[in-house]
Amino acid sequence: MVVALACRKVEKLNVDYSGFNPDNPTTNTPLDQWLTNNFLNPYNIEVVYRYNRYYHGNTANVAPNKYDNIQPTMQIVLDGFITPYLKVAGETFTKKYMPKEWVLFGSYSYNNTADPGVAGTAAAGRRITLYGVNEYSPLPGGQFYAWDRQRIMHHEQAHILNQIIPIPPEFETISRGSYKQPYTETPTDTARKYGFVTSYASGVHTEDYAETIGWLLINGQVWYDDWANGASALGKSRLIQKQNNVVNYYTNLGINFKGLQKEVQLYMKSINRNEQKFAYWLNKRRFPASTTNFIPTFANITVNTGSDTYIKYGGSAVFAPIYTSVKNAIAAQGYNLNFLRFNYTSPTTMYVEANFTAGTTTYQSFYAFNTAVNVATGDVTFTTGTAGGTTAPWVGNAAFTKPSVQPFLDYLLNNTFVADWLPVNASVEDYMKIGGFTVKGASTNYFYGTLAY
Amino acid sequence: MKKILFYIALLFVVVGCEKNSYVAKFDKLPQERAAEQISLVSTTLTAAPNGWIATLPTQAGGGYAFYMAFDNEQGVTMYGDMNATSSGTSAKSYYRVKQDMGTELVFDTYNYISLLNDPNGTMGGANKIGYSSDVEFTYDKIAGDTIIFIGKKYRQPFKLFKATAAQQTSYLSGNLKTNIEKLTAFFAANKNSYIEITPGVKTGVTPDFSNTLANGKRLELTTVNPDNSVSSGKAKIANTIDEVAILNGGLVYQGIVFVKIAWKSATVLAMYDRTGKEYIINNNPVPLLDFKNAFKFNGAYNGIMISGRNLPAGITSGWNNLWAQQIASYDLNNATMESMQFRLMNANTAKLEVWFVIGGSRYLADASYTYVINDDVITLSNYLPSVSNTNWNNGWVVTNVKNYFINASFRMSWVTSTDPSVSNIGGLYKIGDLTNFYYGRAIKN
Repeated sequence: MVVALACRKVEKLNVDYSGFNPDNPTTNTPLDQWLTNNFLNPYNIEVVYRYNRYYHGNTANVAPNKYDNIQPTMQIVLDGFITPYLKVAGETFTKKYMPKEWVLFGSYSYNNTADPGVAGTAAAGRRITLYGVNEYSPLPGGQFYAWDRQRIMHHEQAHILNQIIPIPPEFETISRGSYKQPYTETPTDTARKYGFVTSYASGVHTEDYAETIGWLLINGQVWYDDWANGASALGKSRLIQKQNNVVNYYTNLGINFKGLQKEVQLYMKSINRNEQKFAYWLNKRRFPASTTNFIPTFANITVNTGSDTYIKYGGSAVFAPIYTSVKNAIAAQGYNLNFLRFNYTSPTTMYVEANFTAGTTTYQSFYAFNTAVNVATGDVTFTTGTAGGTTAPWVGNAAFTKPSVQPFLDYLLNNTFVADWLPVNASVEDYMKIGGFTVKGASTNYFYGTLAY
Repeated sequence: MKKILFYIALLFVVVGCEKNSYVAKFDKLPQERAAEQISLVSTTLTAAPNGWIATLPTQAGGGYAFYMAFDNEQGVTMYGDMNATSSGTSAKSYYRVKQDMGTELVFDTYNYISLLNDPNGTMGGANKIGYSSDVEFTYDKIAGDTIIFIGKKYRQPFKLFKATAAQQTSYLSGNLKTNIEKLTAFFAANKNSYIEITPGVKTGVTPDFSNTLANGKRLELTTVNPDNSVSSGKAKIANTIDEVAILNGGLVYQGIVFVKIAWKSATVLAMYDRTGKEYIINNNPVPLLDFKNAFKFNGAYNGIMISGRNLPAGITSGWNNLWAQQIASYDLNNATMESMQFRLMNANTAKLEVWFVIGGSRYLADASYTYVINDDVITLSNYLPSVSNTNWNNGWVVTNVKNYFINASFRMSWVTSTDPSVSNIGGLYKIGDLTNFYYGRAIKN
């Protein structure tokens, strides 16, 4: 080889490429200028939107882009994908690791009539190809499109990162033995039981990694936790391990994964996705298809104005006296109020638990409520429900503390509330872990509590 | 290993030698010649002052035509003949001419031509494939006012003809849409269109202007031969502003190359062959194919159907009285007639199927027969009532209708109506009483 190279050195390679005919479509339309200003100049990202067969492979059937869909699609890329990374991972990371070439195609890519169609690909750690741009429509009709683009991009970006920094080897061991191709033969329910976020994830660990990252980001923590809680014990344990692995991977890259997740979720809120709404989860059954199983998403919400959470974030000056009056009245009865808790028995029924102590003995009083949730507006109302039993907490204890708790019970019965993730200044770590209710039309009158599944 | 190194070294020597002895076959470098052709194609496309009329057969579907105007900034504006929007409203997209396997014209953002290539099948075509048509075309040649490309993947000829100023104006006025509507209306009103290639012999002219993959945008010529066999020819067609162009060199039929359908005058349509000879398109009052040849269990039609409570208009028959009895019976019992069909199920079984609706639910009453066909006479036997359920025997078909078909013989023939909008009516004429016949629209189940 040395000999050969030495020989070659003598020859002067004198090729002038300027005379060749590059395939470099150049227009300078407002779209081109917008792409230059928003992608090329700040991030050195080239957006290839003019049809080029060599980007999708010769055998596939793919249609070109509708011109008018390019800018809104790339705006979706900016808002839900690049901006979150920019905010959380910083400028240097974003400029370095964002794929440098974005290729857009109008249709999905099909190889034949049986092919389900390719929605996106990642290549060489540098290129993301997004298909299906012709399906864009403006909000609110285009909500799914925007969500689905984020799904594809965050999935593909995970591959891009994996192509630069490999997947930690221990990830593959979490579900070792459960991967099976073709993934299409694994129904979603089965995939869930075995600890996968989708059927697609159950095919091979590399896709599992990208899917875990993608779904954690696009549908958020409550969705992920609810998914895990609806899996088998094995599946749940695996999903938790996978999440920890992913969070750790990002930490090693210098990225706060929870922060990134919150930023993506705020984008999802801006396009009005249900998974981002507290009211949606309050209203949702874990197994919507079941006619007998009414398990709600959250098992309970614990309210305690003296808790660390309230100390950290503060609370409503209107609500504080109500809670304090309950606490003082119970103290006057000789007991210490530990907390008030909403125990959900279904998405439409719950009971308020007053939890109080004397000496080392803890007591409970239960007060039943029915609740109605409007997911679109977030409105929540409470009405008196039917007692769930004849034990002491339902009868004797309840009667004993009722006069003391009454101000809080009246507060629930006499107001319409709006459910949301509260407090608004919750840290990234607490985001979607605390939920609360604001009296409709009175933004300073609210209470919140920590959520448990 | 040493040996391999030796060969590698040798290879360089050989390459080096070849370089010195290289003699160019052409006077210019390949990239220079490619650049010249790119320039030629670009200049030709943009230099046409009134734009281009283009035709493109698809590989899997029919043919299509476009109007295209190319500008100097890689923009192209087009009309297409696929639907009301594409024929009436212009749309802009981008194109480029580049070096590929030859010089290639690429329509690189979505426009009407992409509808044919789109695997999502918004317009039709095969699911996940489309019409098997291209958006990339390799330059072939320029001949006079024509520039010809070949589709990159599906190899279909994409031919562009320079438009005249009048043609351009007509396209820009949205006339392609009205022209297609006029043609469609003509063939809707003249369902049995024919031309005479040989005087006295009628050849059916059946264009399909739909976009269905199997038959759309195609023209079929059909002749019934003296021995009752049928000969036919089929070709892909496209609607330009002036004509229905027959693509792929025309439709060769009975030794004649038909190239287009065009208006001879405001109301007279004609076919033209390659030599310019004219064949006026006329309409036959009944379908050209005798009903006895068309009505077979595996033929063009296998059912005679009356839809709803009203018989086809403009026809007088003894059957009308029986039908009135049937409808009266349904009215009495709050039932609604959905359809009655005499249907050839297979080579020897026929059925009379009556569908009716009560309270929003559909019900069927049916009977079957064995049939024998002798020339144009069909004879029924082995009457079997209530085949699917008991509705037939429970009075949901009136006795006179039942008796009409039991062991009966009919002559099969087309029925003419005094209402010109009623056509394709097949009839079963009672032997011995030609004023009494069951009739309905001939359908293919």
